[in-house]
Amino acid sequence: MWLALNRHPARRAAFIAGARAVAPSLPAMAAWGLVTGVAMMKLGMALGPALGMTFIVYSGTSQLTVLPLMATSTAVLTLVLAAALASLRFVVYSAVLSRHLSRVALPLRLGTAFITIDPAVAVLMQRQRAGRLVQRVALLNGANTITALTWCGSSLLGIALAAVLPMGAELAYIGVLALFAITVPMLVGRPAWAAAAASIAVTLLGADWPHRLGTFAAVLAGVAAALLASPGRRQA
Amino acid sequence: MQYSPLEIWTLIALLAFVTLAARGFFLVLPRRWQPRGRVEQALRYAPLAALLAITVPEIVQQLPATWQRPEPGWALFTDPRLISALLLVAVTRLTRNTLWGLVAGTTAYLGLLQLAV
Repeated sequence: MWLALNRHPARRAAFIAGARAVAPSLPAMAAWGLVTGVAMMKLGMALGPALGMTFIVYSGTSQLTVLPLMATSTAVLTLVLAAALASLRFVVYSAVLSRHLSRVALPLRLGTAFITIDPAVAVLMQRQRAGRLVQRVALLNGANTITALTWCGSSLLGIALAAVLPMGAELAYIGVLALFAITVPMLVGRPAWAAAAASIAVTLLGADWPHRLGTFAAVLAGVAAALLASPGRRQA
Repeated sequence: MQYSPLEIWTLIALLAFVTLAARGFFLVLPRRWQPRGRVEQALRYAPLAALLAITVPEIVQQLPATWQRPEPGWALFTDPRLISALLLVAVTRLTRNTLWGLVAGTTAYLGLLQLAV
C-alpha cells in the first residue's frame, strides 16, 4: 500500500532495497511466528484473542513471555509487567532509531517504531556501517513491511495448523536456530566480536534472572563492550 | 487458562501499549536526550547482542545435564542443539549464505534427534 501511495522513485527504490536486504532473515521470522501461533492455541487461547495478539500486540517477545504465565492464570497486571521487562531491548532499539526518525512527523515516527523489530534494525545498521544509507525511512519500512507480512502470515498458519502440528520444545528449537542464523553475518569487526562475547557471557550469567532481565543486561553489556572496542577510543 | 473476555482484551490492549512504549521510547523524548556520538555508534551492535542473548541460552541449555552423563565427551559430541548450532555457523561462514547455514543446522538437528531416541 505504501509502495502504491509513494511515487517518489528514490523512496520506492529504497523501500524495495530494504525488503530485499531483510530477506535472509525471513525464514527465522517465519519459524518464530509459526511457533508463536501454535503455542498460543496449544495453551488454550481462543481464536479472537490469538488474532488480537498477532495483529495488535505484534511482539513475539511479549507473547511468548506471557503465555506460560497465562497457563497458570497469573493476574493481568503481572503479565503486563513481565512483558514490559522482557521488551526492554526494544527501548535500546528506539535509541538506535532516534537519529534516523527524528525529523519524521510524529504519527509516522511512532507507526514506524511500532513495527520495527530485530531484523529491520539489523538491516539499517548494516547499511549504515557500509555507508549506503539513503532514504532510510523508506528502507526501514520496506524491511518492516515484508517482515510484518512474514510474521503475521506464519503466525496465522501456526494458529490454523495448531491442531495437527506436533510442536514440542524440540521443534521450537528450529525457531531458535533460525534466529541464531541471522546473527552470524553480523559478526564482522572488533566491536561486533566484543559485543558478542560480552552479551553471551552476561546472558549465561543471568539465565536464571526473572522476567528476562538477563537478556536486557546482556544487550547493555554488548553495547558497552562495542563502545570500549570501537576504534574511536584510540584517537581520543 | 481462565480469563474473562474483558480481561483478555484488556491484556491485549495493555500489551500493545507496552510494544509501543518500548519501541517508541527514545523517539518521543526531546532531541537532547537522544544518544549521539560514540554511544550512538556502539548502539549499532544492540541487535547482535540482543539476538545472541536470546538464542545462546537455548543452544547450551542441555550442557549442564550432559556433563553429568557417564560419558560426557561423547554426549557433548552428539548434543543436537550444540552441534547443529556449530554446524550452522561453519556452513554460513563457508558459503556466505544464511539460508544454507540454516538448512544444514536444521538437518543436523533433526538427524541427531533421531539418533538420540
